[in-house]
Amino acid sequence: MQELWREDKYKNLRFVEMGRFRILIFSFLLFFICGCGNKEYSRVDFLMDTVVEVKVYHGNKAEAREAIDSSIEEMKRVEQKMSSFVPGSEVSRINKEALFERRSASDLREGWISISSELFSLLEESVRVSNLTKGCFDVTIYPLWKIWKFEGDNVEIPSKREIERALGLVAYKNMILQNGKIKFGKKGMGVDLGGIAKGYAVDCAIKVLKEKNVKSAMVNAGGDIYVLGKKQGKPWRIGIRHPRKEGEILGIVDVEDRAIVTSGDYERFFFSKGIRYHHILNPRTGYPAEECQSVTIMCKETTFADGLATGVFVLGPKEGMDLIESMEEVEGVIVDRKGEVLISSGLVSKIKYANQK
Amino acid sequence: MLTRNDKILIFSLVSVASLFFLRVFLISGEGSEALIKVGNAPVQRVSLRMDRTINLEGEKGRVILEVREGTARVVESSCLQKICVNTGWINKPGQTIVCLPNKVLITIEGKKSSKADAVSY
Repeated sequence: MQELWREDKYKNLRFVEMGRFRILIFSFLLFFICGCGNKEYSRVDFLMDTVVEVKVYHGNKAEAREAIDSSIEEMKRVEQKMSSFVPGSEVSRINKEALFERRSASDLREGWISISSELFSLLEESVRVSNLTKGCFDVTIYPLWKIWKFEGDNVEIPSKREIERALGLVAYKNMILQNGKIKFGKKGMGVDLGGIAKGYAVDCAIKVLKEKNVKSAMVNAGGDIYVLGKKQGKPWRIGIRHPRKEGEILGIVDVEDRAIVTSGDYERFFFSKGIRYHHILNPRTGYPAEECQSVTIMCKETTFADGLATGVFVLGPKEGMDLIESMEEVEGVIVDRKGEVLISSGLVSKIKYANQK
Repeated sequence: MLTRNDKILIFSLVSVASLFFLRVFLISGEGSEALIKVGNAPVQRVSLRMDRTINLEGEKGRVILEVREGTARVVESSCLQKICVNTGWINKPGQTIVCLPNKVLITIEGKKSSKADAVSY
């Protein structure tokens, strides 16, 4: 009888041990489930004349896919509205209307063109960047941009006379925005949002992702990046391209809820008689800006970062860095024409050099 | 004091753990596949282990991709600037060749060596 009792006792003990094993297994399983809870979903597409990628970390596949598709559709919508290359866009319509002779006397005197509130706000933001950069960023660059023909397969630079004529039409102060309408001071003026619309499209895409309850995402439109939240509990790691070494990184920054935009002279260019002409035009001289090799801006909005990167590139390294330092929550990296790297004070300790690892 | 059941449990635990280990190990295996995206078509996967040339129908014409000894390059393209051709051979995970006029993107898959999630350019 005593022996039997003992056996029973051991059985109970073993049961307890089994329980411990089960707890161990369950906790292991739970660990793996948590770890794999938010999976990575991404989509790459050709938009806005560049490669666009949307990456999302989410627990539900269908919801993630739907959010990604909606955000890409949103960027397509922005492109169709804001691009001066798309014939039917609102921007194209304004540029065309600004060329027309107006029939009624009052229209001719007034010259106001009604625009959507969305375009109005974006133009207002452009003017804000223009004011900050002393006109080095200027959306009325359209007449100049048109004669340089970077969008085509151009191999010839415009003549001096052509450039001088176009420069006479470039001045954001001659573009008046009032009560949802726009008016140009001179006939033949126009707007090109190429220096800011890509960033705006990224912000719009992020807004859509947030509405779809996405908490962790990255939108990358040809190097104009916004990172939302963290990437699986850690900050996103964003590299800054080396302006002269293809495929190499100048440094890496850990970021979350931030926009990072770089303007570089290596992006779009053509050769004419052995000289390289890149796409960032100086609205003062009419020729490509030559003070910098690249400018990277980090701040809270991609729209602002995009415009500011272009403006600072034209403004030059010294004035540009002074401007960056004068603003709250704006950081930047400038590579000047000699290849010297300038880093804003708030970023110096945060940037990791690629070769230091 | 292990019973048969305990042993089964331990065995299954170890095998599950090793499976996860193996999965991580296999994924990080250096760039063995290229992802090819042409226009709006879905992404194709191409192994880099088999040498061959692949003809892609881009937006403006033909783009010829060559795969040899685990690396890939664009040999020929109908575009004007030939940025894609000049990129040369790629084989490291995360490296890309882009031909914008033809809307062709080639990416080497695998654990990224650059340690960055994305590059601002």
